[in-house]
Amino acid sequence: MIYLEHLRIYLLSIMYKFLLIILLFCKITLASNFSLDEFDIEINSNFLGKEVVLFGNKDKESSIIFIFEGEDKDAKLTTKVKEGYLWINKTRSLNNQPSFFAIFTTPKITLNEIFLLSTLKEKHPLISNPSVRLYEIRKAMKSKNLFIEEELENLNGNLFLKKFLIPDNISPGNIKVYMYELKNNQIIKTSSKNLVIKKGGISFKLEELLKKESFIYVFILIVISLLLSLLTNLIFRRK
Amino acid sequence: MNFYLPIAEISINIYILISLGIGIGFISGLFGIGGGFISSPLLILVGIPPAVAVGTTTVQVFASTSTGVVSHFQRKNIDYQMGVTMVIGGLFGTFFGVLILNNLKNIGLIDNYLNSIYIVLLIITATFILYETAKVNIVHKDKKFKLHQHSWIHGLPLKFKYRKSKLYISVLAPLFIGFLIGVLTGLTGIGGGFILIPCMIYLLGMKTISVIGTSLFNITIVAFVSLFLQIYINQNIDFVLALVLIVSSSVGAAVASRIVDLLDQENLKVTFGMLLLIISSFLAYDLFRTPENLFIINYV
Repeated sequence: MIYLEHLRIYLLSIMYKFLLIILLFCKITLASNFSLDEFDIEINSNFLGKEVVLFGNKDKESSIIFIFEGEDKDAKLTTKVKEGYLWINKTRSLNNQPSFFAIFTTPKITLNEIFLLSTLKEKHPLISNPSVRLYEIRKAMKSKNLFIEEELENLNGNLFLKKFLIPDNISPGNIKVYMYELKNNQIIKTSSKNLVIKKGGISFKLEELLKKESFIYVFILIVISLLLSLLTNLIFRRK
Repeated sequence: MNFYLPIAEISINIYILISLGIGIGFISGLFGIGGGFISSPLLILVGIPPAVAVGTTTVQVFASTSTGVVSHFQRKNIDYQMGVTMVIGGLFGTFFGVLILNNLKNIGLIDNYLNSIYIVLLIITATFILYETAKVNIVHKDKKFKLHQHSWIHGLPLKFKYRKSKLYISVLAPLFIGFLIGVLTGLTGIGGGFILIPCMIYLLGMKTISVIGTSLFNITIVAFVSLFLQIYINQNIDFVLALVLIVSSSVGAAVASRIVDLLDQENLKVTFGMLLLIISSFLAYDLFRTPENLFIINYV
C-alpha cells in the first residue's frame, strides 16, 4: 500500500509539472516574443558579413513590424550628376543618419501602410518617406546593403523567421532591434533588444593604433615594409 | 577567398589583390619604374576607396624605392646637393598635395579629380614614351641627340654650383620640379619618377649616371614624409593592403628582372606606352559611363 501511495504522489507531481510547463508555454505563445541567433557580432580580419536569424512567435491575429536601426552617425551623401558628358559628384553633409536600417514585416503589411503609422514614421524617418532627401539616402544605403526592406517568413500563423545579412561594411556600434505588434492598424505592443557590432582581433587593434597612436602605426608600417622589401629582394634577386 | 581590409572597411578577394600586386611589380620590374602611378588607379578600379588607394600606394612607393636608394648610395650615384634641393621643394609640395586630397575627400570630389589627374598623367607619359620611341627609331634613326641643351631654365636667377652633376643652374628649377613631384606624391600617392627622370635629364641637364640615384633619393624621402602626413591628415593607409601589395609586387618585380634581358627594349617601351593608354581609357570610361549607383553614402 505504501508503495502504491508513493507511486500516486510521484505520478501527481509529474502531472503538476507537466501542467505547469503547458501553462508557461501558453503564456509564452500568447505574448509575442522574438530573439536573434546572435546578439554580438565581431568584425575581424575574416569578417565577410554575417547572416543573422531573427525568429519568434506572435498572436495569429496580429501583425508584426521589425525595425533594425544602427547607431546614428554623421555622413556624406554623394549624388552623381551628369554635366555635359561627364558624371560629376555633388556632395552634402548629413547629421545623425542611422548607419544600418532594416525593416521586416508580416506579409499583411505593405511598406506604404507602415508609412501611415504616425508613431513609426516619427520615430524612424527613413520608413517609406516619399521626400526626395530620404529617398536618396535609402537608395544610397541600399547600394551598400545597409538598407533592407523585406517580409518575414510566416511559418504557421504564429511563428515567424527571417534570415538576413549584416554586410561587411557595417559600422561598429549598437543596432537597436524594435518589434512592433499591431492589431487593426494600432500598435498594441512594443519591445526592443540590442544587437552589438564590435571590431575585434587584428582589425580592431590596427584601427585603434591608427586613431590613437598614428606615429607608431606609421613607424611599424615603415619598418615592416622595409624588412619585407629587403627580404623579398634577397630571396628573388638575380644571381 | 575574401578577406577584410580594416581601414578601407571592405572585404576583397585575396587572389585579385595578390595578382594585382604581382602585375604591378612585374610591370615595374620590366619597365624600370616605381609602379605607383599604375597601382593607385588599378586599386581604385578594383574598388578600394580612392583616398585609401592613394595612402597605401605611398607605402608601396616608399618600400620599393628605399632599397634602390641603398644600392645607389653604395655605388655613390647620388647627387646630394641636387637631391636635397628637390627634397625641400618636395616637402612643401607633398604637404600641399595631402591638404588638397583632404579637401577633395571632404567635398566628395576625390574620385572625379583623381581619375582626371591619372588620365592626364598616363596619357602624357604614354604619348611621351611612344613619341620618343618613334623619334629615335623611325624619324631620326641615325641621328645622335644631345641631352644637355641650354634653355630658359639656365637663365633663371639664384644660381648654384652642383658639383657632382657639374651643373651651374638656378636652385629655383630643381626646387620647382621637386615641389611639383611632391604635390603629385601627396595628392595621388605616386612617386613621380616617370616625370622626374625626364625633367632631370632634359630640363636640368643632369648626367644619366646620377639621375636614377638622385631621383630615388628624392622620391624615398618625400614618400617617407608623405606617409606621416597622410596618416595625420587623412588616416588613409591600410596596413594589411600595404603589406600584401609590397610582398606581391616584389615577387612580380623579381620575376620581371629575370626575363627583362630576353626582351627587345624598344618593343617593351611601345608595349608600356600602349598599356598606359589602356589603363587611362578604363579610367576615362569610368568618368563617362552612367554610374551603377547614383547615390553614395559614406559615414564619417
